[in-house]
Amino acid sequence: MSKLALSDDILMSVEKPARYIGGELNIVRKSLSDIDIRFAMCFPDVYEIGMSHLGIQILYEMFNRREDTYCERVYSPWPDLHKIMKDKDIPLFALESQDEVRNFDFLGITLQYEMCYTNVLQILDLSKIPIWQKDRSDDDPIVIGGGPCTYNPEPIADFFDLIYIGEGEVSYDELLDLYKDMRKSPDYSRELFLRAAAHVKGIYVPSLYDVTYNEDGTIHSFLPKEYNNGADYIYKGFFGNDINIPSTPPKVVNRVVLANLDDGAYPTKPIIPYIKATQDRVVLEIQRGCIRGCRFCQAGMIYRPNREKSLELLKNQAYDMIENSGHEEISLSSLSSSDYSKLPELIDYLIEICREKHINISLPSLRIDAFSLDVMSKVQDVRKSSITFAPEAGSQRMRNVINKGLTKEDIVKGSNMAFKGGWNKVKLYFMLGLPFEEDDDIKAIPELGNEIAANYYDIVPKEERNGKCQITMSTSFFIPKPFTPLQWAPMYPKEEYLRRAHLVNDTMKEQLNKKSLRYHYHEADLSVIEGVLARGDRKLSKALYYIYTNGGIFDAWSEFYNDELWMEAFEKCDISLEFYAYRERDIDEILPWDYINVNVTKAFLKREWENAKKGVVTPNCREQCSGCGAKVYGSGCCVK
Amino acid sequence: MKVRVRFEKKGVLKYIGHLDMMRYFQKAISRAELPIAYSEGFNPHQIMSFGNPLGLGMTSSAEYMDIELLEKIPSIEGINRLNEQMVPGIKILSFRYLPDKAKNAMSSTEASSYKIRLSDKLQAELGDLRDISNRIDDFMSLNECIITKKTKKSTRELDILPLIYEFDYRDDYFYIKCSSSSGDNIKPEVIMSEFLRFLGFELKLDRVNLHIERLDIYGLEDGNFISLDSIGIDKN
Ligand code: SF4
Ligand code: SF4
Repeated sequence: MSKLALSDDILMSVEKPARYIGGELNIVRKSLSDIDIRFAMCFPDVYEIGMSHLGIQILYEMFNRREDTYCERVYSPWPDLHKIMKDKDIPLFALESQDEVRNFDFLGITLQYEMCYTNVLQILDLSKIPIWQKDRSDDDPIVIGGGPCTYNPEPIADFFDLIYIGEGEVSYDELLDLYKDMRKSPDYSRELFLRAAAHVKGIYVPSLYDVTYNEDGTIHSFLPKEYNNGADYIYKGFFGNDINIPSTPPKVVNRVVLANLDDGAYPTKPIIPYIKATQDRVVLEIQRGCIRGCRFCQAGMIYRPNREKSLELLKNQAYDMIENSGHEEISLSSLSSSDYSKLPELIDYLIEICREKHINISLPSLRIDAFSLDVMSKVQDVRKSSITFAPEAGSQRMRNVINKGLTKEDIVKGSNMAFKGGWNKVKLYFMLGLPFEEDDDIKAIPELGNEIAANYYDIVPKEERNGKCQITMSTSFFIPKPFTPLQWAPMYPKEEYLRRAHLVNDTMKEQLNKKSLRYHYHEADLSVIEGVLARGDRKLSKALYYIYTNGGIFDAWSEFYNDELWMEAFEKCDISLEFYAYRERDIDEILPWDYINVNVTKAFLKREWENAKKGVVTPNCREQCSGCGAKVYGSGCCVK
Repeated sequence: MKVRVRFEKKGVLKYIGHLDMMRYFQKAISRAELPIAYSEGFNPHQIMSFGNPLGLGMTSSAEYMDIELLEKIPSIEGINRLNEQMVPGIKILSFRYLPDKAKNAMSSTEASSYKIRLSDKLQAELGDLRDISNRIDDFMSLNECIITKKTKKSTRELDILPLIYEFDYRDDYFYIKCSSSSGDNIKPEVIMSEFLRFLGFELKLDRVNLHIERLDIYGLEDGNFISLDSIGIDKN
């Protein structure tokens, strides 16, 4: 029988013990005597969420292809187990070997959303790794962060040894080789390794930079430290290499990008959880990046340029994954999937093999047109399914501000076509609190919903109707994110967000077709906190520490999020919402993330911010290149 | 044609619940490419049904799953193809074709047998198990042993003694065979706790201090208990 880290009575007393026992189908098993590097890969949320994340699966596959490395998985213990582990002093373990994380060489933590930061502290604490980077010894694992939140890692910079900026496929080999070479030598020290690692492309070492602040709290300077009296240091690696360690880390850290996606590792033998993961299906990544450049969208900027995987490869991967997993469903993953140039061919192929194998296709949200409606009617029950639009703003003026190329005409034409095809449910997604938004723009949201509903009753004769139509409008609150043209924009206090949401609701109630309209909105307090963390600086780490040590975990879960605790922490640590959330940033201010070069230039972002103010639309990358800077990667949409 | 698959579920698999096992087998059957029948419609499902759910924390050498096949494959091939897809802890034991009129595993079920080991901690509280086991006959000769059974709808009194068909102790294990029909389903931990209460021990028994393995499930044929496994036949 395999060894388990937790005893029977603990496992029998917690919810879903299968979260902690490992042993799932297709996990990698390696003998410790054959490997040099143990890598614990963590998604700091509950198992079912973490297991659904594609990026982790790609890295798991990639690391384990290296003969000298064994990568295992770690997820956040649910609050019930968290308490037991704290009370009984049980250290956190990785799933495959059930060994303690603190004995690994690396602990990699993916940072997918800001609200997981308290769970990062939970992982470190339960692992018995010093929470603050400065307190770690040579024997503690190297803690490295990756994922979208690393495009401003400053609020958590003091907890990490390394931050990986860019796509994991590019620099990990170099980093692990360097580590092995240094670690095995008798001269190993954590400090020296970090200094050397700072020169691996895409690697940022927060502890090697000094930040100073102006009186008003903004950043005065962000400078690389200098060490070894300004002289380079030659380190004798275990394998005889001379490793040159410069006396200072680079001034800017450049994002790394995989030029040809077909070259990347892909988990064609995915791990099959025992318990139902959020994504209980085959996930096929078809492209990265997006050609569209909506101005609020961080993913649309930081993953530039748009690169597609080849159709042939996708067909093979889809086939293999279906065979190796036995999943009943397949879904496609990418930004703006409709833009994948060979989508019709890919979907035709999927429909063919899925019919043969009795598998469902879960379609991504597609631009609504004749093609997508045809595909949808082939794979879903039209009477039960809905069509989706994400206009993001109600009025055309606002859509121009945010550069969302979807027009009212597109929406009306698409929904009318769908109504004629038998659909009667429409979902619409919007944001509230966008810069320059006025009350008329807000009212335009329910007005648009009303117009769509009215069209339904106009064009579908009574006898053909399948009851009322259902127009569901959802709004989230706009959160300005680093490396977007709206990164300088202000947020609003919670009360103002709620006023806007109520304005939508009240206006909806005055509409003629109000009985066919529905409206949902997100929580406002979480949005403000997320905004603070997204654009925060190093001063936030104290507040995060305060929250965690006072019991805050799983803040991404509204049932665990404790607004009072966050406000208390901000108060105690001098974090003002006024400063971090509500003010418009000066265009020349040093932003906390300015040392990162994502190769979408600040000049381009400034240009786009000006265009937003003027409501001028910028064409997408296929229509015309706008010179954002990503051309330096020499791939994807920039070279076509 | 209907096939009954028997499998064992051991080791850490005891932490995996019934619904998860069903999903696990759906995927395993797909990977094994068994010629299973699917339901119609936009979301086709494999035609399969499971026997009595096994409680979380129990192991079993007799889990049953009935599936509908579109074409015949030899029993030994069915076993092998599924076994290639199993994780350690689950092993396919038989793959037998059922007569057309056979009821499914769940509705055929009349009785189950269990093998029970007491945790070391519990044993220490109870003293010598042989002394205790010598009292089984006294317990079974009681006039009655009434328990209160709560269901979602009602509460009723039930004499469990007539529903216990076998109760033994051999080589450190208790063996119980008792009713598990849909009307009178008795859990083995209830029997153990009533027995221990009869001996004067008021203890909370659960799956941590009782290690229970289901040994088999039985249906009725001509008034005799017969393993659900024996209702089908092997085919070459
Ligand atoms: S279409 Fe716009 S919102 Fe969607 S991913 Fe692309 S840039 Fe972002
Ligand atoms: S360089 Fe041009 S084509 Fe390439 S991502 Fe930027 S705007 Fe698009």
